[in-house]
Amino acid sequence: MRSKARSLPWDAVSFHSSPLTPHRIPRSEINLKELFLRARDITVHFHTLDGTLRVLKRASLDVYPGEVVGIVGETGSGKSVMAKLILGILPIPPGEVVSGQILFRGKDLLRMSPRDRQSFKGKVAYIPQDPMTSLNPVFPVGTMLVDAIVWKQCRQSLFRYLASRRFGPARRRARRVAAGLLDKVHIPDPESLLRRYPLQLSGGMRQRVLLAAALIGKPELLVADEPTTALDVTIQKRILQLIQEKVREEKLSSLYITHDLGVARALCDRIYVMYAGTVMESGPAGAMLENPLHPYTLGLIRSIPKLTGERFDGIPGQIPDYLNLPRGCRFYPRCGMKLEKCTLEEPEMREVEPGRFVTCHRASLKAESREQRA
Amino acid sequence: MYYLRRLLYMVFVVIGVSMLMFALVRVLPGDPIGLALGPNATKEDMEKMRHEMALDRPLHVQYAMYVREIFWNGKLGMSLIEKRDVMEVIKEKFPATLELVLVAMLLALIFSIPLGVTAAMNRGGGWDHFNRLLALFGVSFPHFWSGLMFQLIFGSLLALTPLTGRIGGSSPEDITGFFLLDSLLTLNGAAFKDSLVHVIGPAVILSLGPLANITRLIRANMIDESTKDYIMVNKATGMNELIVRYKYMLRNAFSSSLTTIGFLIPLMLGSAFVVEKVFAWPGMARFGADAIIANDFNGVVGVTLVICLAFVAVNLAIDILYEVLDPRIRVKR
Amino acid sequence: MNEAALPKRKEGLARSWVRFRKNPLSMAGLVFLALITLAALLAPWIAPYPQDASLGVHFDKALSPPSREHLFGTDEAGRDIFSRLLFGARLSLMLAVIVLGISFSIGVPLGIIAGYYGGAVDEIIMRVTDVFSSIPALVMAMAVCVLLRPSLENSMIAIALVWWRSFCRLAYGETLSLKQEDFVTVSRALGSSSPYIMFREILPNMTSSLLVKLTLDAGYAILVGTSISYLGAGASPPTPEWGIMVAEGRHSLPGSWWASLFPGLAIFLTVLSFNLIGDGLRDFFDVKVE
Repeated sequence: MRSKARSLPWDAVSFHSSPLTPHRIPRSEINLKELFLRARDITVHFHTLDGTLRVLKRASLDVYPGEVVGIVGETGSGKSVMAKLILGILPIPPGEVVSGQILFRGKDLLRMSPRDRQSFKGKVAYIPQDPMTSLNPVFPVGTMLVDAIVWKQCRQSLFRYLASRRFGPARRRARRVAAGLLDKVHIPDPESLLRRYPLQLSGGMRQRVLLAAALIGKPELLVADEPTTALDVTIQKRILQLIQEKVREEKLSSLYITHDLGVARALCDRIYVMYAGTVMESGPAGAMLENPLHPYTLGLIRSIPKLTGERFDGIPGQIPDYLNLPRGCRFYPRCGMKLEKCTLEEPEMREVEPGRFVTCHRASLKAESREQRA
Repeated sequence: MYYLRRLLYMVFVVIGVSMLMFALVRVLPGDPIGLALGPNATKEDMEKMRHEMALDRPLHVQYAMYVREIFWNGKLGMSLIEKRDVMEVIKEKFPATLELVLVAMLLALIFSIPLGVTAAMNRGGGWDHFNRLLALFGVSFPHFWSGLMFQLIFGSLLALTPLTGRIGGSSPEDITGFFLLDSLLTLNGAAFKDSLVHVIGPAVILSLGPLANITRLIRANMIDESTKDYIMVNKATGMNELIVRYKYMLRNAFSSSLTTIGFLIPLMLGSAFVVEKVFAWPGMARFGADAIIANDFNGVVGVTLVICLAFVAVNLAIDILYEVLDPRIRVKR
Repeated sequence: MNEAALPKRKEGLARSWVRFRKNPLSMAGLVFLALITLAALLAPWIAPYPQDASLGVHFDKALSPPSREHLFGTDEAGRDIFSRLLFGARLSLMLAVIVLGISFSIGVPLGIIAGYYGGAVDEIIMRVTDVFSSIPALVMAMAVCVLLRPSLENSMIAIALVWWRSFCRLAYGETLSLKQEDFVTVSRALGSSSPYIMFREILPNMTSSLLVKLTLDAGYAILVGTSISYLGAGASPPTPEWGIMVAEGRHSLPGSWWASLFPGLAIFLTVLSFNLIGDGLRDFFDVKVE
């Protein structure tokens, strides 16, 4: 009997079947072009004076239309690098994409011409983490919004952009659009806000402005990098609700990056857990958190302080030094359940259950033995 | 109030420098009377001169008289080499030096900013290495040597530029004192070409040092800017790369460089001493260099005071410019 | 707690040297500087015509172009330029050492004291520094030099009198930021005296910035020194100082170009090597020094 738990080629796509997922796409209807975003085997190196940091290793992720996908990981897990790569704002001279592809509606983002890449940036929106540092302090808030809108209107021609002078009709139109966007995010008196400087706005207001900026150009994918971490708790909830509202309204798919498993569970359909630049586990949010298959995920769940007053269990150890990565599985130094194989060989990502993917020798072996018994 | 404090500070610096100059001239060894009169002076002549130069009065009185001479009468003392009041000499020669320094600074800025931006955006690439080499070379040239080489190559060998002087034919009508500007204003094409061809040599040589400094500075500041969160947000909106660089990033990078750039101007005034001498440029700095050699104390002191004033003025100008460029300061007040 | 509070100096230095070695420009600068220093040290023995560096004159050979007998040609008094350059190297390097030595010894302690004590002491010292800073180095050095009677030694003193101000400012800035650090608090709690803290705790932590500054300033000091001599306010003939060699050679331009070219080239290359080294050091210590 052939073992079914081999490394599945990505063409035999499986789908999420958890009841929590609002979108069910039958296997027969899956079309690669329909798959909204597919990042596959992304390997990124960062070149510094001290050496080369291998920040991402064969990381893969999928996003289907209309989904909310979460990327969860500690600081330094590579989740921001992944997000920036998708957004196209990863600084490439120190960074280098060694291999992999990112298919967005069938086209590979990493191998596009710069011009096409620019136009695809319009389809992907970004909400940054810290609103206090995310707006240029020397320009009024409206400048960036208006410039971006005019640029889209000029259909990416530099000449036309420069030709639309400061007070011409194109700019006035753009100002109206900008004000409209600010209105969508429930900012009172949007016209006058365009003239204000960031330092005159509160954190919550700034985050709304950033959300408005993200909505320019009718994006299809929203990448939110821990958008509420830097805010006060009282405002966090409101901003989160606002984001969800807009996601629903504009029918966006979103990639939500966070270190907070609780938030991920509440918001996301599927979650990817990243550690040291690799995806360790992925699957539907509810199923994964009730029954984690990777030791790291288990550790993360255990680390959440519980209301029942149980002891706080941290995961011993620290994230690895990207200059000196351990041989074998990147997590094994901190793993409580490691096998000898883990110190020698890096595990591959396998689908051990329908819709559940793990990068772990132990989990793979368990799945294999289960199948052999079956 | 803020400006009052700044003004007081500047006054203090000017006073301090004037005291320093005064001290240097009066306190250091050297015989001003002997130099003024020559070796064949008699004792009576020397006594008379001593009284005339007020060297027989107590020091603080001398200083007070000195200050009064400058600010009340607008005189800086008699120049030995020019045989007239130093203030007059400076008034006459200062525009030439200012024109040279401004043209040099303009040249430096025009080339260094794009170079710095390109080097920053192509880190580790060809432009970056070129930029670095240029910066290191630019500050290593002794001005008297590079000026000489320029004269040799472009003046002698290729005969493209004149060797010395500010203008060959007749100077344009005097409106601002700047030949280039005046010839443009009076539509004097010949004079414009003439002045341009004369100013190019010294200006290029003078601009090499600041070019080197500014280009490295801009590069460093642009690299700092590129890591800023708001620039990432800007790029994520799909904005054109060039616009992000030259409008959004350069703005902050440039204002961070402003202090250093501003202080390059008084520094250039110092280098001008050598450059003007090499190119026989009829400016205040050349007069200063000549004065130093000829032991013309009044000349030396006068020129130094003017340079100090320039430094102070630049200080103030930078502060004002900062407010214009960075609304944070404006809004906070 | 003490270990955590101590600065991680040693590890940084070792790693910095490895990185420095990787930079070809800096290594080139280092090599060239080593050559110049060697040439300067061995001048009396390797110069083909050592007497030309002082009083030898051979008017019959005046202004002969570069040849096998005279590598860089001869000047207007028939002296071998190459030999004179070698001896000139001694003078320039000596100038750098003396000037930097004096200004360092005056400026750094003043800066540390001003930064450490603050208050009135700070104000006084820094205001005086400001007054000295508002005049370009070259101008002030020349003025002092002439008032003292022009000579090579006096030009060195004059430059040193002007140079201390930037050392003072650097030391001041570093002290201000360093005195906030934990190890100072710990030291003070342990009862160390102020001079001890200043010179045994704070000063060692500035070494990287000071080293970078010393290297870069060596080049600039040589530039200023030779400029002063060129203008006639420093060394006087027949001293084989590079600056006056250029000035002397000027008379014979453009025909006998070698008389001015080679001394100037020597200045340029020496200053360049200091700058190359200093730039490399600056990158690898990751220090922001003007």
